[in-house]
Amino acid sequence: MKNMIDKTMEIAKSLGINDLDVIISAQNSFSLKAEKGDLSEYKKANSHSLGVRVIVDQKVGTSFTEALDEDSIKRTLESAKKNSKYGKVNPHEKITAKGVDLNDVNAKANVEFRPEVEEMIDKALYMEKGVLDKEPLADNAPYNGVAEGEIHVVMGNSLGNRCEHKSRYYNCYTSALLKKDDKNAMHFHSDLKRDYRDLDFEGCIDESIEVAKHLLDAEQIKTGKYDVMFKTDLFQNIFDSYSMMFSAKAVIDKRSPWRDNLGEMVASDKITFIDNPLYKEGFSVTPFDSEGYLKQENTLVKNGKLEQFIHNSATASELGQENNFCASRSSKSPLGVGLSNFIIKEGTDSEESLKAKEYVEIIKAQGLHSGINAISGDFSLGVSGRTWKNGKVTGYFKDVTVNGNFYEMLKSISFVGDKLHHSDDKTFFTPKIIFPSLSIAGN
Amino acid sequence: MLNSQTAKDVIDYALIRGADFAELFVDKQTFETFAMKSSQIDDVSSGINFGIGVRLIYGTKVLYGYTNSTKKEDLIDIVKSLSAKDMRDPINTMTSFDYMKYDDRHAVSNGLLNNVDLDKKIPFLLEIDKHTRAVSDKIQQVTAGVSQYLQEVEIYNSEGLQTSDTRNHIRLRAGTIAKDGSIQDSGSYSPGAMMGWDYINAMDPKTISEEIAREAITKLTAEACPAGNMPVVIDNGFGGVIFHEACGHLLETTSVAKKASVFHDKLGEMIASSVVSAVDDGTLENYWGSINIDDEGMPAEKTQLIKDGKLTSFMVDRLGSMKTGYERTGSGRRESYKYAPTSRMRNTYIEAGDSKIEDMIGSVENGLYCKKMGGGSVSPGTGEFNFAAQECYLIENGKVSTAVKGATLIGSGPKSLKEISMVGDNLDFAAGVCGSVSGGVLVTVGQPAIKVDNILVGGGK
Repeated sequence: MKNMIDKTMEIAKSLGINDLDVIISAQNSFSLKAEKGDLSEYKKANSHSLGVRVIVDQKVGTSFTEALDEDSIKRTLESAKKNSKYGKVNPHEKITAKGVDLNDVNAKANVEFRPEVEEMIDKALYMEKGVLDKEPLADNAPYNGVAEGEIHVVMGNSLGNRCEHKSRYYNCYTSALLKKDDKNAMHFHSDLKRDYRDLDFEGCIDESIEVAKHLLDAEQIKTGKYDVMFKTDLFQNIFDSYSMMFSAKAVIDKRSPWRDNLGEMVASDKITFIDNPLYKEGFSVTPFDSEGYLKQENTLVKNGKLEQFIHNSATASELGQENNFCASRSSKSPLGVGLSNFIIKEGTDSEESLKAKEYVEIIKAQGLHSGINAISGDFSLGVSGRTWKNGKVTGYFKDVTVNGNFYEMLKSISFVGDKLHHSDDKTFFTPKIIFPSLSIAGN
Repeated sequence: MLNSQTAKDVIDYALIRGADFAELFVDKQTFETFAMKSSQIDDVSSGINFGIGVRLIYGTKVLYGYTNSTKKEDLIDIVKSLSAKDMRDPINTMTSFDYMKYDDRHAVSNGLLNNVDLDKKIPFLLEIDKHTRAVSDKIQQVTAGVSQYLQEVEIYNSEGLQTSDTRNHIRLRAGTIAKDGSIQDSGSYSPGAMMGWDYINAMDPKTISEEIAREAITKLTAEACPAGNMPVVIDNGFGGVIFHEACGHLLETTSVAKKASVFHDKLGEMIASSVVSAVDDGTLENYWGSINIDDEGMPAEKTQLIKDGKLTSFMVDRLGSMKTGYERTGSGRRESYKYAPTSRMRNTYIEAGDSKIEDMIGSVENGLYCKKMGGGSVSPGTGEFNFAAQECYLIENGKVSTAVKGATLIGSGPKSLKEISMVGDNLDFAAGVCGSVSGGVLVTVGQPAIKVDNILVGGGK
């Protein structure tokens, strides 16, 4: 694929395009789904795409193709050049990364061990059987499977940068649909790992059953204000929906709620946010950003104060700030910014002291894509969870909604635990956090 | 796009390896997107996706693979790899292809095959910017973009089907952000159709601008929505997302066949209030969710899902038909060659009734009027759904009063369908993208205004 970058550069030169970068991305995947004791889907796939970003007369144009023959690449470059004619003059977006020649085959993300197909088939079938065997109330386990994916990315630019990265991942998932009398409840759980041998098949099954079982008998709780904690994976999903708050691009686009707050307090002084692509426990392992710069650790919010936004070279130039190498772009998208391994630093409140507290833990939410307004910060979500008192679960609830404003919520935090917990995909690390007095609507 | 002899050889090879059914889905998708932000053209991009999906069925087991290559040996390799564990003596033999070209119900001019120059399109977006900013000095940002797609498909299968289709789609996304002090909020409008540039060109940018600005500015002063169970009037158009989530997904054989839908055994039974009749119709001319043929090569149909409250049909794809015995309804859909088809919605809507929206609002003492809905989601196994209101108001003493924000409606499909007591006469539609097991597919939701007597509203007050 590296040769194809060179070939693309040659063709670009022949078309009079001198400033460009190229991303070639290839994916191989193998996935299995099980249903009623047999495989219901066996899927094997490979695909690739090549995307170019050209800069002509300080105007940017992008284009992509999934055909990698020379003619298609030439047409793609011509399209990008034509597209650039219509763009605004942007003196800040340039091809600037140079001096990097990196072939990254990270050992953590490319373990030698690869499972046999038979083993994966057995496990896909077991994800369903395990639910049905372990739980007498399980009426069905409708969604089950195991998958392997490989990603190979090569990028290069007209300044001679060449970066290559390969990684592999595995995941498994199942769902438990339980029925008792006229009540039913379902929970889906998945696991994602770099090494197949680390997949927690039993944990997936047990978690699906346990949550569904509790939700089966769950009732609404009373409408009112509650101190709320979010389960780590759910908190990650909510956080992702608001990640625009860190984006320098959103500042330029006048969408960011924090656009006028650099150097000011935007969160409780108990809070420190760090983006660390090099974090050794993290799932994200790509060492270079999408412009070809080597990534680095960035503290975004320190003790509640907004220290920096996440930048690529263009946003840094436009805002007159330092580039912190968070450029993000796929072969099919324009230049943006993105996070890698996101860490909320542990606080000083002992987890032991939680035992003295009464709070609600929300473990599941519906409608994240629709109930969240990243512009205003408002959210309103259908949720289920459990109530805690004196260190013990006192009950489970469902069919209620939780409402609040995320940006305001960050300023009002009553508890930040002293231990880090990670999301299932290990790209989000957080201590236990309690947000006081959120509105819950129930009965 | 794919040589038919290559297609025949690949399908023959699959049958020799004992497949009951084999299918090739050849898919080329061409994109053009241009977007405006901060009063300037911000992004112009284009591209082509191309690939071939290979589906083999052994019994009811689906083997699926895809590639970007049209070479016979690459396609044969996929078949070989997919069928390695299931290979057996041949059961079926290939019949020769019988090319079938169905009528194009959705005539399009100025699609990407006959493209209008960007120079002529861009001023439309700049007009939206100008008119929106003129509404108020609270407007901070205006964004607008147009995406045009051209999908060309060829479908071959072992029953001798050889067919093709060309699908043009276009969608406008206009949005604005208004700010007052530290409070900011947004307004948006995203219509789409199975058409070309003529669809956008016929719109009035000033009307769009005034609407998105009005929504954003109204929300700036909206109060927190009260929480609790109450009657809700949901207006027409995108309000149809309630039916899409609360019922539509539960009627796809994708979940029915697994018995993962609460409605799987309710055919012929009353599942909704008797004022509710609903259809899923792939034939509506030039609608965003329409198709000539589905992604299994079957012509689109109009499917009556519910008639006067009684469940009359599911949405059925080939595999769903094999598993349940119900007739196919032309509902096999997928985002691209990267997905095997499953039963999916097309243009799904509650049919018009005879109530007036004024009468619905007038009948509510204390409740909520949802003028514009956001998206939502459903858990098919339990029927529990939620959806967010994008713009809503209190109803007090039969009149629309204060604007409120942060409202989410949650409930269960079976219960909520029976709580619909009035159906309006103002049927309208809206475009959306529905995400499910076969990827994101273009769907229309629709309804006239409806009154739901009792539903849980989540709010901040």
